[in-house]
Amino acid sequence: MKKKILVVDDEIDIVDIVKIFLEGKGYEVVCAYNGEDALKVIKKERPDLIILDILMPEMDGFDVCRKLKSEKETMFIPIIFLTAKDELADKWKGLFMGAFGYITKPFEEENLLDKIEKIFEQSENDQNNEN
Amino acid sequence: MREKKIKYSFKKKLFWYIVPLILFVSLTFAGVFIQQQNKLLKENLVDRGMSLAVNLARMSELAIFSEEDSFIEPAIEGMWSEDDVVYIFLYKDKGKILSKYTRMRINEKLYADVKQKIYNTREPFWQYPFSSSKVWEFYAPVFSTAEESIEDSLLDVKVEKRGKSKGRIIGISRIGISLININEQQKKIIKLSIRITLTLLIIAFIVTYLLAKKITTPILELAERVEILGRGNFDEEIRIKSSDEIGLLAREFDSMRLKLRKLNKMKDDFVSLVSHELRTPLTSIKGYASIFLSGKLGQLDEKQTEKMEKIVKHSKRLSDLITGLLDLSKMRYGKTDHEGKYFSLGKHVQNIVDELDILAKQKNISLEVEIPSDLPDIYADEKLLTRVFINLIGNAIKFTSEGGKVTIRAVDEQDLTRIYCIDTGMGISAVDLDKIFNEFYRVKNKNGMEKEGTGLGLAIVKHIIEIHQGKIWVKSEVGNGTQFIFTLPNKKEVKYEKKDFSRR
Repeated sequence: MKKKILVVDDEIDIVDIVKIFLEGKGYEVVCAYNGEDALKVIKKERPDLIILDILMPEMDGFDVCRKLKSEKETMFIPIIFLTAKDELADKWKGLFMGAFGYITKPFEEENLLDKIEKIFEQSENDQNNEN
Repeated sequence: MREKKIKYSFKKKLFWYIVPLILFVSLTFAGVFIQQQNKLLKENLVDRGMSLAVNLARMSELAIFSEEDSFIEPAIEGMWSEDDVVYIFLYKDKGKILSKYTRMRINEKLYADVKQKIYNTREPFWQYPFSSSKVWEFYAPVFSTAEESIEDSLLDVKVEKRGKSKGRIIGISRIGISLININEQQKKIIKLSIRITLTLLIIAFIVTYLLAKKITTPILELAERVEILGRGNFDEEIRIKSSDEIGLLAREFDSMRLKLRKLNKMKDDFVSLVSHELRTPLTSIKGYASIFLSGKLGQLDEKQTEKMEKIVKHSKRLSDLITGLLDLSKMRYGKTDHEGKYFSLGKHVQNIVDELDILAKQKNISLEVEIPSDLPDIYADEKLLTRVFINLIGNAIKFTSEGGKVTIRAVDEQDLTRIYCIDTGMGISAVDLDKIFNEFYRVKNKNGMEKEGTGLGLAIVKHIIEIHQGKIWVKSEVGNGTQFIFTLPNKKEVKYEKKDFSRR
């Protein structure tokens, strides 16, 4: 079954680029262009992973993350931050909030793909162990 | 520590201004005092000598008349008991001696000019004796109140006019007074003056010291605060408990600090905004170029691939430049997050060298680590130090031609660890050497083409070393390789600026 990944960024081009790369690797990609949109899409589409920008108007990435982590249904969806904010303080903040990864722009595609693969491998392992 | 920075401290200056002044003033006063006292002493001596001589003369009238010295003996004895009276002579007619007391060798004869003077003036007088300058002598005429029966011829001097009231001169008293007492008193006065001068000097010392301390203590404290401010910590309040001008200065500094803090916040916001605004389009450029390269939009031919790779390469460089600039600006304003800990330098360098070995092998360069195993652990931020080594070793590899050698050496020097990064590369010309740590300075190669890189690497390295309270410098000659040398203080916990997570 194809894994479903949600890409959230207010920059349409970035979403486009990430989408092309992920689709090239055989993932199913859904998009959102702001925080509120993202929450709606998540409820509807139930993605397996979320790639989240931080600096977005109104509801930023941290807010989205906080919201997701506070609700039972969305609590365990892994999140990777993909952002231009490169300060260590922000990175820590993101990781403390429960994100699996923190990648700064401009990003290396391999880096992003590696991280996604690792996350899926790990979750599969966890499921196997449970079974 | 701060006081060492001052070549001529206020304390010293104040000292060199005040102490010579006090010395000059007190010496002048002492001189005047001694002179005045001397004058007074001599006047007293003259008064005393004169009155002794005159008294003796008054009392000796009868004795001279009767030529019987026993009449006057008690009076003379009384005078003689004073220890600075060294001789007493009483002369009768023709300068013959009636009575004589002496403690020193002296010409006993009455000099003719003395006689002449007494007869001319009929007044007592004093003079230095010819034989000694340590004794002053006093003469007084002895008058007779009796009738003019026995004539002046008793004394073999012709008198033209005789005084009207006092009567005839029948003899002369002569008293010598030694200056010993006066000298002793003079010595006492000089001693006293010296003591007063010294006391004044000591007081001047103490007052100068205390005054200087009182003035410099708040100034030094202020300097310390301002230095903290200069390092980019705008949160430390500058407050000096002082109601004087220094207090005012401190308050002015504090209002400056608040303005700076505001500006700094604006700058931080600006930098972060710019960095975001630059990075986002850069990410798109690089992303789309990568998509082309990946062949997802159709296979590219060789030329297209080459150009597309250039787009990726240059966006990478631009991105490195943005990162470097941000890092440098953060470091300069003390905003880097760093954490010191003790670790083994040898292992640390070996790890880095292992990673860079691939790069070196491509150029057939040997990487050698010469770090003694017993080198004490150093205290530093591991991540920052990694950057230093990657930068220095990376540069060394970049500028060393095939078959060369790059050596990392560390030497323990008690207070500090000295670390060398030595290559056998092409060296750096003297012109470049001065500017090598400057931002954006890139050494040009022989063709005048700039080498790759952002020109920020060494500037960042320098900052990192300085954050660790170390120093870095470079030795090089064209064709003879390059040595980067830096120091890190040993066994001393470097005080970093506190972490700043409070922003935004």
